[in-house]
Amino acid sequence: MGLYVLRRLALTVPILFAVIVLSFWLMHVAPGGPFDAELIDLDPKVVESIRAAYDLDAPVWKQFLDYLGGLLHGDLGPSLIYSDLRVSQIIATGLPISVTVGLSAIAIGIALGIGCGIAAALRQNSFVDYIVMAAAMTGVAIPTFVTAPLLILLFGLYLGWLPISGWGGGDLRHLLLPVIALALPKVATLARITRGAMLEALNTDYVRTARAKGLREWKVVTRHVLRPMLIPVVSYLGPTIATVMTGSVVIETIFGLPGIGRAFVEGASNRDYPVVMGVVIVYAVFIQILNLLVDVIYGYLDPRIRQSYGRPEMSTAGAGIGRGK
Amino acid sequence: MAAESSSANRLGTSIWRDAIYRFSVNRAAMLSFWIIIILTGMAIVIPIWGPHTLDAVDWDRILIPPTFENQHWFGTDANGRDMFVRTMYGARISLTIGVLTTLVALIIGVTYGAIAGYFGGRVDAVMMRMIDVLYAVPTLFLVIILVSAFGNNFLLIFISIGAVEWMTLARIVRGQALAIRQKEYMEAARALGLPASRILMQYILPNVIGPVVVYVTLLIPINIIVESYLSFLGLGVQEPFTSWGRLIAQGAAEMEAAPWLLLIPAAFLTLTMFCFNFMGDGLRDALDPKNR
Amino acid sequence: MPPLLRCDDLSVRFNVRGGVIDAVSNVHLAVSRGECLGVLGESGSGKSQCFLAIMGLLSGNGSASGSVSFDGQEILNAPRKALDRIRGRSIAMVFQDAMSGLTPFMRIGDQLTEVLVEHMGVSERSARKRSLEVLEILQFPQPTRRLRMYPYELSGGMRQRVMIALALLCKPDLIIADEPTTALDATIQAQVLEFLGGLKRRTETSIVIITHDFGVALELCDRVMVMYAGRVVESGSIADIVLRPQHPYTQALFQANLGIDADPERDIPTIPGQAPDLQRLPAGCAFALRCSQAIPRCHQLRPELTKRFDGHMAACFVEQPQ
Repeated sequence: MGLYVLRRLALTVPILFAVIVLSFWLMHVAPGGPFDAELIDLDPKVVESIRAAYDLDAPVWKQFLDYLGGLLHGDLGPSLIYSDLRVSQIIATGLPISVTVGLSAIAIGIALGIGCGIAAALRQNSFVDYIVMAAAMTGVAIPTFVTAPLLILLFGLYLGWLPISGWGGGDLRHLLLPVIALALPKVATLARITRGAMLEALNTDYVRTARAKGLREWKVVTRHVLRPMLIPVVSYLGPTIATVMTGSVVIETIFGLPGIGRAFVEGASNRDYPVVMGVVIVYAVFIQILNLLVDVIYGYLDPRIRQSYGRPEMSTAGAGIGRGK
Repeated sequence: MAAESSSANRLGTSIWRDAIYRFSVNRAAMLSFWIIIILTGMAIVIPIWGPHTLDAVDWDRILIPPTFENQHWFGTDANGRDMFVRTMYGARISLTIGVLTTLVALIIGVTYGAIAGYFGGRVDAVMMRMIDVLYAVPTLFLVIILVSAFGNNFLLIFISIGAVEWMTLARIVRGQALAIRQKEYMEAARALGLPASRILMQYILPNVIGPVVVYVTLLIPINIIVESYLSFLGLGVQEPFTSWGRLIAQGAAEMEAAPWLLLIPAAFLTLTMFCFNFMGDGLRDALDPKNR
Repeated sequence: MPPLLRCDDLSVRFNVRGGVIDAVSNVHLAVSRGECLGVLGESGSGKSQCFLAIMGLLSGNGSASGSVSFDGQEILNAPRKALDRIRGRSIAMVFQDAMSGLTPFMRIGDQLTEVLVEHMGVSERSARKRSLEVLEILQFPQPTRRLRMYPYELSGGMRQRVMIALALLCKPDLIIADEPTTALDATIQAQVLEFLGGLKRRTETSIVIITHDFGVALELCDRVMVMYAGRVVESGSIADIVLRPQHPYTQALFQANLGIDADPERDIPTIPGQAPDLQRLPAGCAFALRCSQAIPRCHQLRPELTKRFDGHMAACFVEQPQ
């Protein structure tokens, strides 16, 4: 197992490199440049000198090598749009915000979602089950950019209980609405996954054997049902955690939170290459780490998977359920 | 071989007929299906024969809530344009993009996955590694770049989104293909010298269709959402086109004064999502041999 | 002496899409202490569901009615608490498929010890000791080493012996074994049967063997009950069942089980037709369509179980040689 982890960690570097190459190339291949919006207003000579200052007229491969060189020194480059900010600064200020909102939403998702899913599975086809499943269906169907404004409308405008936007230094009142809006689809999805997985596990032959042994139900559930049940849950959580930690673009935009998700979209629209690359790298690192964690946890949950870890061609991280960003 | 393929076809027909039957008794799924059909009908018809056009400005009735006046059943927006018609136009765009995007993703994903799964070994390993790398890049990033590269042209947006969403489909198809190629009848087919393309078409594809169909039904709403997402951020379809995403974004801006501008397209979007989800669940239950 | 296990009018019904399946109808049976009852029948005869119902292990859409008493206590549809006290301890069940019946992600040792810890309240160490004892009795190879293994690491024969061991741990009064030897190869099968026989003689443990294999029944059972389409069609002592079968189905079953000295030139006798669809049972005797001795009456009325001679019942209108 240890060998497997090391091997995976070693793989991270080339993958990261491939990601950086791909993203860099895509960014530079797309039409338009960082100063296009201002071109109309500025003297072409001024634009020229700005571009020269950032080396934007050099061939792409040279720009790339320069960028790589900077990376190896831990320098993510300057923001092209916000000329007095470095990318590392932007990320350093934005990341804690995105992570706080994201992880809080995940925590709620886990507690509420898994809890409801278990409750629904244990009382299959009962009233509780139908309510939970209906609510879950709703939570999954309504996108965040619909629920967020609605929440603001209700709690911010009509009831006036909570501020309608802004970070406010991260106090609870400002956190509440964005976290709830972000958490809703997670709660719903986790509830559905948990319920489905639990029902499937409860109907297996080996659970029947466990009951035939006279084990009390809570023992049956904790010893024989919990682990297989967690596999799809973990599959979902892995990529989802990586995604929320890099900031939900919609939530940050609607609530005016200065996280890195918003920085990312701004950067992409404005062709602020270094900022975009910075966020991409952060995301890629998160995803790699989380995928590895997920695979390690799989190995713990199901020893049969552990066996296949000796064979490098098995792509176990592929058991995930799409990405969601 | 002829006998086997015809019996496979017979088996196939009865599985489908059985699935169709099971789907048809699922009331939620059938209701959803009809709602989508009606919605599609409205989206096609209303913009042509509706009471107003997309851009007509009703100077006397700017920003009014839903009313019977002048047939502004959904009210008007800040520019005096009728919301009912605009919502239907939005339906056209959103639904079309959703379906077309899914089609693109389907074609790319199934081809990629079938090839990877069929050939297995190194080919498969390499192809899956490439997907792993792509997965490490945020979807939104890829979409935004592609959209910028191809422009906001309505027709090309769905290629951009589809080109990003195909990966999970490829994984599903590849998994199924890998499982099938282990079966004994595959060895027989290869031993008989059947060309790879024939094997793919006759054996692998029919068996892959089940999970693919279910995922496709769920992919359509996902793609509608992605497009709405983009439009919401201002990166999707541009004027004069409008989609539910844009309408919602505009509605959110006017939320205090005119909540209906937000609520109505949001309601339609939500309803559509619900329906597709129910249909997806219904299909999955109908095709599931365990009949849960 | 009252019987250890007694069923009266046991019926099991499943709700499925499209209607109701009567898997078991009006079964009466009794097992005394130290007796081995064989339950014979093909798949779909309801033989397994009957005992799953007794154990309270029916799947969600199933329901059981009637009365089942064990050691004087009514246990059919008993509350979970009561069932937990009995299952695994006084009545133990051995399931047919050991691969799916064992928890794949739990070590064998843990799956064994948890039974003892639950019912006897002993420590892990003593539980492990006792588990090893039982495995050794079953001639399980290298048990100490294997306790730490997972089910997928064992062979089919070893897994089946683990299933049997699970049942033996608490020295139950009654063991219900559902096709315990079907998945095993001949040598191991012989070992297992020999062991069960010895167990019965030495400890007065009652055994119910559910099987479709006459040979197994012959070797172990004192009495036999033959089931078809959810009903008991014949019951009696093993000797009587073999020498004077009173039901055409039993006779056909017997013929279909070839002995080692069967004539290789002759065709294998089979029972023509298919097992009945339990959702659409015909009027009259369920076996009539496949029966070579059927008379018109058989298709119209369902024969009840009647006494043929001492200790022997059969449900058939046609007179048989006695």
